[in-house]
Amino acid sequence: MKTHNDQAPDPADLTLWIDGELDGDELARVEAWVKDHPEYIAEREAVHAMQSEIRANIPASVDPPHADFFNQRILRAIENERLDGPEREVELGFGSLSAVAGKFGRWLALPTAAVAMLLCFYMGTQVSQVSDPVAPIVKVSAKPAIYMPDGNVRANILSPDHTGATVIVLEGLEDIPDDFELVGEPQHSGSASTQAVTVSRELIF
Amino acid sequence: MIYNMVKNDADAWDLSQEVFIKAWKALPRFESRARFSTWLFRISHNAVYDWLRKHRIQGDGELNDEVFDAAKIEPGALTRPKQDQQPDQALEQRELRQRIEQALNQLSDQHREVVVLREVQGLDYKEIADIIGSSLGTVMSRLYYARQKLQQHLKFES
Repeated sequence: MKTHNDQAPDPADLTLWIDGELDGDELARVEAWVKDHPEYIAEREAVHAMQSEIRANIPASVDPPHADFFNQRILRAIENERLDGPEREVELGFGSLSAVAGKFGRWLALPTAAVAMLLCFYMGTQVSQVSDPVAPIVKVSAKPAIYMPDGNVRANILSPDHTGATVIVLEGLEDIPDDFELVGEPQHSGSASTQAVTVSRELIF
Repeated sequence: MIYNMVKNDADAWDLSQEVFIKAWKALPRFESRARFSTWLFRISHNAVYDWLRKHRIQGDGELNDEVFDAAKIEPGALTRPKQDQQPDQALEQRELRQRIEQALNQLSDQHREVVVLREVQGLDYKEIADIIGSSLGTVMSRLYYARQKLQQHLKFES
């Protein structure tokens, strides 16, 4: 601090002086300086007047508008905090488990991820082997089905073992009219009106 | 202290409740090195500054006229101290209080806080320093400039 003749005390010392909390040499120095600067005496008096006004008009504490409601809300919030806190974890038995999991979880994360990647790779190789095109063909012994657009026609499939052939017998077909021309070989006719059906030996027995 | 910092009844009571709940939660960590009231003021200080920071961001660029017009929100407020005065005296005191509050509201948060803690709550410098987390020198210096500005505002108001 602070005071030569024209050097002002710092704000901290002035505050102490205004509040009457300076003593000893410090007080003497400030008082000596203030003698030459009477405006500071006026300022101190103004501050004291202001302090009195503030203390007289601004209450240091006020009661809540509805004290019961105010206190109830606090108690309820504290009660909720208690229920959501450690006691509830202990009550449910998950607290210590989750704490242990949290503690070791980060250390287990890396090896777990590595194992999961290896497992995925292994499963991937297994899937590709199943879909390999050179894999042996599995014989399916399902009975063949024949679609018949006419509901009155029935198809019987005969597969004599010794011949190695398959015979399909159609029953319920309408009679073929006499004028319907059947040919055994492909026929190229110049007449457009000629109805012709070309059949092969595989279809008609 | 909270009311004088946030300048709004409802928010002040909400914050007060929050402070009590925080104090209850932090009670096991309370050390008797500081007075209990100083410790509670410290929690209040943190809650108020969190609130001010949040509301400054949300209300950035806005001017809340109600903040400066205490006459609009204060009459009949249940938070007023009971007054057994003559009507004219009561009116005069109410106007004076409004003037002081308006002048306080024009201070920065930091200046307003030291004035409230010192002049309204009557705390000593050391307690204020503990509450706001600053040195004694900072508290006294801040108080000096805060008082100067407050006087200017009060003169202007009158």
